[in-house]
Parts: sequence; structure tokens; C-alpha cells
Amino acid sequence: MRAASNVAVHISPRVGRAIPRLLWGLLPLATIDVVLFVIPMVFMALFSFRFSEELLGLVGRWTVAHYVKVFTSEGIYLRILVKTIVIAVVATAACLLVGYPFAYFIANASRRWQSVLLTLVIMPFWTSYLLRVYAWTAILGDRGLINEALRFFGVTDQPLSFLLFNVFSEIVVFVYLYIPYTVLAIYASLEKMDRSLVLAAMDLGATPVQTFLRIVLPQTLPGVYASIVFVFIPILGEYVTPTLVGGMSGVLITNLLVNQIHALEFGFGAAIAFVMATFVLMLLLGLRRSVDLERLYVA
Amino acid sequence: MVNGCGGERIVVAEIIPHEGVPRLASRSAVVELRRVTKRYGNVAALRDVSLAIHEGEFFSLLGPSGCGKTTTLNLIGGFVEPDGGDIVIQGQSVVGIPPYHRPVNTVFQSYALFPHMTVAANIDFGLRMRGVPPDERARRIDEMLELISLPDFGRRRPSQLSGGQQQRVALARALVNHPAVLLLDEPLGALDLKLRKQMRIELARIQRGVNITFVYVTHDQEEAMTMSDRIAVMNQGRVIQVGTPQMIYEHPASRFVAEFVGANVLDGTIETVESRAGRVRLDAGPSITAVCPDGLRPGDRVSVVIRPEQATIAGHPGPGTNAIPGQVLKASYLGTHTQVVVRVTDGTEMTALMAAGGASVGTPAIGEEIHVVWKSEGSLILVEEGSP
Repeated sequence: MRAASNVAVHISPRVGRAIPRLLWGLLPLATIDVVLFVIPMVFMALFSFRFSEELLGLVGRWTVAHYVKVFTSEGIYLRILVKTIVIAVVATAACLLVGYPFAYFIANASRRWQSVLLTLVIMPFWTSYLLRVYAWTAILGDRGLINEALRFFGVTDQPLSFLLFNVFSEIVVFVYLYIPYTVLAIYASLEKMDRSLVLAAMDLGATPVQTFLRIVLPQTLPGVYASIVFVFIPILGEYVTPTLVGGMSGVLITNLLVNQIHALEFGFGAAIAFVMATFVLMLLLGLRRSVDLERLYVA
Repeated sequence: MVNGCGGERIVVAEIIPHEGVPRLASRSAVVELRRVTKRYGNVAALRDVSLAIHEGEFFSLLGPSGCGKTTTLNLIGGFVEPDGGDIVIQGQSVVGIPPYHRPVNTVFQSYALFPHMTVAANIDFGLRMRGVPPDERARRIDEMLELISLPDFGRRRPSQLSGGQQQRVALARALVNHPAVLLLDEPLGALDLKLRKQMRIELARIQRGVNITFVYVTHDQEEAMTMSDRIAVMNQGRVIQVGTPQMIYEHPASRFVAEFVGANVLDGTIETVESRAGRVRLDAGPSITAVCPDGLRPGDRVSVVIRPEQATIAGHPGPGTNAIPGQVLKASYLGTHTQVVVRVTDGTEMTALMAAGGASVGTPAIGEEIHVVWKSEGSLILVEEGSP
């Protein structure tokens, strides 16, 4: 006991000195976090609970009217919010359905091909995001690549107008924009997986399909979850794609939010933003629980 | 191998006399390789390998890394297809048949236990895949957990087990399917020496208990010697010798096998041959007498094999014994034995393993000039590889 207390006496001042030093080290990071994230969020929160007669005024009375409006207004906002979530779910599912096999293919390619294919996956990031979205109007438009090709081969005489400015084109562009994240996240988890597990499963009588469903997929679920986080959440906040290729039917919640901000209705805009943020937070907590569960399995 | 560690030598020396009578394995071959070749690009991994592995035997593929032993295992398991020749399991050619349709299971070097499943679910996997009814599956899982002495571990995860326990679970997961052949790819390689020695005994016990043919890949001659009914020594994609541990040890077919099992090998030229006793002029200087196979004539280049436990050291060799002068490099007292490494006149290092309490002079000093001596009956003349 005596030795233990001696040790404690010797160690505690060192720990005492170490903690402020650690805090000093964190200071720049904390400053950035507070200035760029916490303060704006506090302002937005204040806006969302204030009703002011003047523009951008923070004086006024406390109210939950903005939040009530999000959930009432004849269901306009709620409907668009649900629609946004559904489109994000569909786009995320499409990303997984296309991205998983592609990641699997890359992970099973030879070393040299792997680096080539991965470079191709990352290549879109070399050009402007805006440009990449615009490019799709040149592919899907009335005088775009697809319609011109169809006319050239005599398949159609009128351009197919359902290709652009609707939910379809919106989802196509979402998948195009976000699939690299899916591929990279799943590729990483496939790379991490012990390949001998696949051999062992086949050795024990599992066909390739059974091996995939029972061994490979469960082993790469963390990658699937990660890609959901990287794809689903950003799509919820997408503004450029619905604006450029979504047309009237492709209006999403962020478009409505931006309209409010443009109209200087900060209070209502902020309320929409916080409703979405709450939803995302709940989703993340839910995912984190399942990912943690998964880690228990894998660790 | 001449410099192999003393501990290995002792076990070889002790085990071999006791393993004198190998277990009788029935003569029918459960696995047959017929003139199998396998190339990776321009590199031949297996060259014209033929093997017959008998029902119920513990068969080891022994050789240095790159000798083709793991390729042989992968060919039987179906993870690799041969470029030529045929592989027959239970009388049927399995060439072109995928691993999941072969009556074979494997214990992988890395164990490859499924981390997201419990121990019981791991063992269950093969039974499930083969559509065994649930109540029988439960019974067989319990049976296996009992066999590997981990009866209460069914609900644990592999990550909660020690290396040795994981190893046993990997064994159970393969054995539960009652395969015609169990393939083991250096399964003890990842364990520490003490555990490895325990597992050797354990593995041999389990194999005799379940009476399933084991094909065991190892580069450790001591491991192969202690567990196997028969051993195939491989080198550079070829099978050099197949036989019981005793046969391999006492009658190595080539210089490679002799060196691999830890024997001393000295080069020389035949002087005279007289009724199975050959007089050989060693390149190191002296002439010695050794057991000579038929068909050798004076002038033939040969190797003389002297096993460490047959050699001893002496200050002045008596008449009628073989002797070669040298200098003591290393002397290790090992309790039951003393191991002495001597550099003889042509630079070859020889090892002598002398039993404690024998007629020897005690532990010699390093640098001491002595003679390595051995009896004629204890040494064997081999035709050098590459000569007729």
C-alpha cells in the first residue's frame, strides 16, 4: 500500500502538468471549432426560436412558431422533407448496389489493376463539382448525348424529355457524384478482410454465393455503414444537383430552406435546418450503435 | 541443418527408438497424386509428383519453404488446379472439382476462424452448408468441443480465445465434417515452442481418436518425426523420399534428406569395397569405413552420412574406429546430452551428440583440438546427387 501511495504521489503532479499542456495543444482546434461551428450554430438556434418584427433581428419574443410551421403549412415542408429522405435512401441504395460489386471487383484485381481502377474512381474529384453536375445536362438534355445518339441511330425522332429535370435525373446524378465514396469505403473494408476466410468458407462447403452472403458481406458491414454515412447525409443537404438537374419535380428540402434564407426568413430557415439536423443526428446515433455492435463482433 | 538447435536433436534421438513400430495403416490409398505438375508462370512449383496417401495415416509433407509442399496441399484441397497429371480422392479424380465439392477439409495456417461467429457457429458452418439436420448438428458440435477439450467455449467469439484454443477450434471446425482427408497447413507455426510441443501430442492423439487421414505440411523435421506415420520429404518441387520417420532418419535416400534431418554429411571418394563395407578417402583427409550400397566402385564420388548421436569426440582415436580431426566450435551441455559442434579439417561443421554418463571426456573447451570418432556400422555411404 505504501509503495502504491508513493507512486500515486509521484505521478499525480506530472499528470496535473500534462493536462493543461494537452489543453494548450487543443486550443487552435477548439478555436476553429467554436468560431466556425459552435457560434454559427448558436446563432441559428437563436434565430429558430425568435420571432422578430425587424429583418435579421435577434430581439423579439421567444417562439416555437417556426417549428410548428415546418410541421404544418398544409404539409408542404413535411412532404418535401419526406421526399428528400426517400430520394436519399433510393440514391444511397443505388450507390451500394452498383458500388459494392465494383469495390469487390477492384479488391480482387491484381495489384497493378487495383491502383489503376482506384485512380479512375478518384478521378472525378479532379474537376469542379459544379462542372460535373452541369455535364449531366449535356448528357441527358434534349440535345444531349443520349438523345442525339438515339436520333442518329433512328431509334427516336423526338428527343426523350423525361431524361432531364426530374427526380430520375436527380438520382442519376446523385449516384454519379457519391459512388466514389461508396466504392472507397467498401474497398477499404474488403482489403482489411482476411482472404483466408473466403478459402475457409469454400473449404467447408459454401458455394461462392453462400460465401459472399455469410462471410464477405458480414465482414464488410462496417464499410457499408461508413458509405451510408458518406452518401446519405450529404445527399440530404444537396442543393446544387436539385437546382441544376432536378427541375420542378426534383425540388428538395434544401431548395426550400435556401428560398427562406433568400427571403431573409432566417428564423424559419433555421428551423428547417434544425429539424433536418435532428433527423441526421438520430440516424447517426442509430448507425453508430449498429457499427459498435459490429466492432464487438470483429475486434 | 548441421547447425540446428540442440533441443531438436535430443527429441529426435529420444523419439526414434520408441517409434520403432509404426502403426499399421491399411494399404488402400485415400489420396493419390499421379504425375502432377504445377507451374506458376515460368516457375515449376511441382514437377512430376506422384504420391499415395493411405487411409487413416498421419502423412507429413516435409521440406524447406518453396519446396512445393503447400502447393501439394492446395492441389488436394482444390484451391489450385494442376497443369498436368491427376489427383484422385477415394478413387475419383477431383481435377476441376471446386473445393466446396471435395470430401476434404483444411486447417489453415492462420486458422481463418470467422470472427463474426461464435465458436459453435464456426464449427457448425460446414454442417450447415452440407445440410445436416439441426439436432445432429448440435450433437456433433458438442462432440467436437469435447474432443478439443473446450466444452464450455461454444458461445465465445474467436477473438476471446488464445492462439492455442483458436487452433483447436480450427481443427474442430474441419473435423466435424468427417472429411475423407484433413489437410493441415503448418497449423502450429504461429504458436510458441512450448505450446507447439503440447499441440504435437494433442494432434497425434486426436488423429488416432478420429481415425481420419491427416496430410500435414511442415518445414520442421522434429514436428514431422514425432507425429507422422509416414513422411514425404520434398525439395524443389519434387518428392525426394517417402517413408516412416525411422526409415527417413536412419536410411536417408540422399544428401538433401540426410542434411534436412540433421545428419552430418562428408564428401569423399571410394577407395575399396569389401562385402558391404566401403573404404572412403574423405576430402577432409582421412580414410574411413562405412556401410556401402551395392554397385559402387573405387573412384566413385560419394557422401558419408554420420548421425550426430553416433558420433563422439576423443583426444586420441583408438584403432579400428573412424576419426577425423577438428576444432571445437561450440559445446552445449543439455542435461541428458552434450552437443558438440566441431569444424573438421576441410571446413565442414560436424555435430556430435553424446549421452551423459557415457565414456566421453566431459564438456570440451572451445577451440580444443580433438577428433570426431564414430563406428563404421553407424555411417552410411550415399551416391552423390548428380552421379550415376
